Amino acid sequence: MELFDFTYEEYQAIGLSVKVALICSLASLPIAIGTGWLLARKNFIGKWFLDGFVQLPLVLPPVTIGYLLIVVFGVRGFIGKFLMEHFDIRISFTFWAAVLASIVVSFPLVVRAIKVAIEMVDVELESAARTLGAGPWKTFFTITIPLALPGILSGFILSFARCLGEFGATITFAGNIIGQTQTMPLAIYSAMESPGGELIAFRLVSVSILLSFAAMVASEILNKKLIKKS
Amino acid sequence: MSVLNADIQLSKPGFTLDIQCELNEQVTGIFGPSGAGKTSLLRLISGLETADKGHISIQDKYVYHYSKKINLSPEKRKIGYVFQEGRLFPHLNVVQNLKYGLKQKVELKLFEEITNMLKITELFDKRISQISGGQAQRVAIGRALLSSPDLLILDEPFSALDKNLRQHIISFLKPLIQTYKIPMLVVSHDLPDLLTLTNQLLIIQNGRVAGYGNYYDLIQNKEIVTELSKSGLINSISLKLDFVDDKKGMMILSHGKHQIFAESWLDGKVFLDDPQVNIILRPEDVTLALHRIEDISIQNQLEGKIENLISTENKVLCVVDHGFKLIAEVTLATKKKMNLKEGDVIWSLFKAAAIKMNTKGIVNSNSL
Repeated sequence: MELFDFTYEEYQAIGLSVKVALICSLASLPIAIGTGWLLARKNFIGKWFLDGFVQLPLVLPPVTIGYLLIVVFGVRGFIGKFLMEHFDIRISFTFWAAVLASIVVSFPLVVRAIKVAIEMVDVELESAARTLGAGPWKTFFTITIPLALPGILSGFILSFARCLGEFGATITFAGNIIGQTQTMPLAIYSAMESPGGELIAFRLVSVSILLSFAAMVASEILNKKLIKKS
Repeated sequence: MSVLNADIQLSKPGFTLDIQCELNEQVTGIFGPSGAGKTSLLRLISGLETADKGHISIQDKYVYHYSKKINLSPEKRKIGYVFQEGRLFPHLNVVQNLKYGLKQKVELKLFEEITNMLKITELFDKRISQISGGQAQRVAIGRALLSSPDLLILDEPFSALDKNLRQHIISFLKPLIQTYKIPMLVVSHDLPDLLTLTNQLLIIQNGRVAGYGNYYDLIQNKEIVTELSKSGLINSISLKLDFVDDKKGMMILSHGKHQIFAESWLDGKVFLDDPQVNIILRPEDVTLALHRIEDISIQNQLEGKIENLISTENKVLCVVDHGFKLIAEVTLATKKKMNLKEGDVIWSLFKAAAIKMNTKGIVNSNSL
């Protein structure tokens, strides 16, 4: 059936999207857990600033984020230049740029989910663990994390789904290079721009909907399972 | 060696805690109205909060000393803390909760002993959501004990339980106190519960120590007696159960030379393991007489000596020594009419029906 005859390039775009989304959500998870915990449990000077800064990508146009990433990580940006000169590493317009763009865009979503999940964990259960001889780390890993797990997992899946849909920051910072940075949304965009690409666009849109829907269902199922367990 | 020595200050918005105390008894009851600072004191002792200044030592070891810059974290203070609502970990089952604070060195034997004593061995595989309030409180006590604490703290351990269950928990606590000799602080705003466990009280009011000592000594202080009266002054007496007469529905209890009759409230067999029972008698249920009275329905007539007469606003509390102390409440007019004086020989009279049991035996504990 011609309708579902995927070309090599389409497969590549789908594979790339999943790869970027997986790496992005895995890489941002530990940082998001740390940030979420900090925001949920600690009071410090400049907390409002950190909170605002973390949430910023949620309201900024993704293109703006892509622009800022170029300013910082581009070959002439202050970090990008440093990496290029000292380590011969180039980020912008590579696969890693797509990952980095996705991380920045999806980070607020994960942090928010994890922050709420940790806030929901009764601090007094942590106190109880401390009096039973558990240090801060043991308490964190044996009480806080397991009790916040549903929120952490749903944050992870939310981040994964958001990465799959990422477009603006990616095209600005990573470009639209087939096989390297052309993820599904970018491929859909290109297909729509080129004459006769409607069928390609339709196929990729279908896959995109399917993947996102599966992620959301998985998140729900996991949530229910964990709530039942606790 | 003192169990706890503390001199601490803490200021919070709208509340100041300024406590000096040296506790020496194995079990101390901390009593005070809600908001007096009892829980704050416990949190400072256990390190969950930090004082502004002062020092705290547990068994003569500093756990906090402001000027010496000592402030051990909670996990290093070796305090078993039984919280008001138990605070069992909901994602772990009963045995995992019990073993959470278990030191490697704790012998299997001790684990078995404590869990047997608390009758929780059958609950091991259950989830926390599957056990009842009374069971949860027992698991919480076991969990705290198994962390091998130097000091056991119980914060309102009975408040979430109904009256019957409280007495049940108390009946589990008493043998633990006797067996393990772990120093213990029990906080409660319920005087009868507290007195079942100990007569040694630390009274806290408005963030300060209002009194420390034996209950019968403390009531000599007017302010304290007023405070204690709010919760209801009571006599809490430990007696030996000698015999249950099921036919007459009576039980015979004793203390030294005195024999005391009480209405039987339970099947006598229940008490065979533990002949010690704790009874409660309200001061207003005790009548004083200058002689033994023969033609009267009151069965309990005990001879004793007036140890103390404490006048409050409109009544007089008469502490009579019978080998155990008994508070009787009389009016000022009665005191005058009978010419009561300290040192006088007096008879305390009370009906068998006035005696209320405070600790029940262990009946079907697993169903509770």
